[in-house]
Amino acid sequence: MNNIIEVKHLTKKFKLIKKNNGLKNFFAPEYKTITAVDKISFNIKKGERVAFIGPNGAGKSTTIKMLSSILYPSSGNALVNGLVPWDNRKKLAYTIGTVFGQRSQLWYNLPVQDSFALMGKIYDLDEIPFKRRLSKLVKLFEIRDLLEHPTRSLSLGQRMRCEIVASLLHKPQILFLDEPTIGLDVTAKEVIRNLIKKQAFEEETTLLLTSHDTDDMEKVCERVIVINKGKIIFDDSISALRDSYLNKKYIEVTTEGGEKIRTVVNTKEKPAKQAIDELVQKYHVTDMTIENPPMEEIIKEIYNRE
Amino acid sequence: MNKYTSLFLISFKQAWNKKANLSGMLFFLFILIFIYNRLWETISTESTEEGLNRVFIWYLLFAEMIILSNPKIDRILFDDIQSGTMAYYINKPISFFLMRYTEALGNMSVSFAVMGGFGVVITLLLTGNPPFEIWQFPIIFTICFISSCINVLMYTAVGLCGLWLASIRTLGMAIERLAFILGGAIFPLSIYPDWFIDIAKWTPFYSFYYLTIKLVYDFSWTNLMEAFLLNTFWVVLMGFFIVLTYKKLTKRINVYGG
Repeated sequence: MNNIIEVKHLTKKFKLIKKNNGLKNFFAPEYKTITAVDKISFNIKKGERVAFIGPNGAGKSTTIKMLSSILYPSSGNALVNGLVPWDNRKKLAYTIGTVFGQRSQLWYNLPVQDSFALMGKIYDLDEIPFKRRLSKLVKLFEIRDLLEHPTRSLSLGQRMRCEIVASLLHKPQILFLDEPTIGLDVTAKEVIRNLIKKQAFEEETTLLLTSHDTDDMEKVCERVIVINKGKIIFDDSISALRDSYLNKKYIEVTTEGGEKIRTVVNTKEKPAKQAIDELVQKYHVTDMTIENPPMEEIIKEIYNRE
Repeated sequence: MNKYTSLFLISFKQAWNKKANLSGMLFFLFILIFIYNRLWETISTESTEEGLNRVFIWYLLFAEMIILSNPKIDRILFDDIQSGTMAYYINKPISFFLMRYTEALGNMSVSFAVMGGFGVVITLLLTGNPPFEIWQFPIIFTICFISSCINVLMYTAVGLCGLWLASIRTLGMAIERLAFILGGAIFPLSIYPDWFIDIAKWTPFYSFYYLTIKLVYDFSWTNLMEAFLLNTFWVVLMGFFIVLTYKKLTKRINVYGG
């Protein structure tokens, strides 16, 4: 399979004015340089679903912004669908879709269907293929009831489903998703993950998904790139990451007396089921949560092993 | 249909559906015309000039149609720049600037047309026949509509100043006041002393507002041509400023990400 995204030594540095220099700042500002993305290289094959994960400030969004032609890099090269993003912004726009979890591309006061109609016009879609495409996506993402509502009245989960539909109307070959589940509750997250996966699978869309939630990558993607402080520290399959770093589960139980007991289980040594059975036998459990290790811990672990 | 035409139409439809906004605007216009009519009636009784009241109220109506129909595009653009929203639109196959301008035009067109219809009826009832011939009305209406489009463009330029300014409210307010004074948007410039008119002539407000609205009481092909040529000159100049500022803005987004 051919690479649809090729990234070589991509670097982004931001030059920022040093603060707290008082009046001096006004006449002769001093600058400091921050390296957000530091010589990263990777390739993504057509139809691959890749998670780009890391803690806040790791450089995930900056990379996505460079690959989707919003930002120019300081150095390095990238080819997205055979095009250099920052030199072919308009041409590239027709082949990629972007969803930024913290931003909306829908018109705030317009009914969702009007926003979709406008997106169709923006991407120069013909009337009949557009309607056919919209009808398919509306069914897939189960948003028929939302079409007449203005964006401002939607819940975050509903809005996110509509955002994804809007970004898929022109049938992009690559979909960039920047924190698509941020701020969503557990149920809404699950719905979004399933829909993204289903759509990508059906249309062979290449996915590059950033998140700091390890569940997003486990449930949607097949490959994971971990980035920290602008550098790639892990690039392998999800199963490799799971075997090496996601074999710990955090189990927290609440007993009848309200006491919270937290335990860490290494699933390689003891299956989660066995650990849960032991806890249930030992305590009168009224509530239970099972979590993956937080992102920071995975990164720490990767560094420790290096 | 072109993407910008669609944007215009959807924005037009949205503005048309905001009945409460439109009603509020018409109420304000009514109060304004009513008060100024009473004021000019009083002044007219002491003046030797016949029909002064009628001339000024029709002048005021068209001036207010231009001023009040501006959909505060400066604030919308400023918020887009400051919040970084613009960055997320620049990788779409549409010009963000033209997108916002077209939306604003759709919005403005509704206000302009509704105020035009309502205002003409009210002014006719209050003052009687207009100071222009009936056949001149479509020409004056169209010219004033074009002036309104230029007015929106000017406020778009103000909004783009968000690139350098932490707030554009003061600048927007200053422009508005200058339009009232130097553009003669409340009183025709002809009532001011000559030295003041000479100063006003060097500003874009003179042609954007006064020269256009003056056609209401002093319609001639010469005046029309003068308004057209001067407006074209200022629009070209403003266009340069907008293109340069917008380029600088997108360059900054390319470097800093919005």
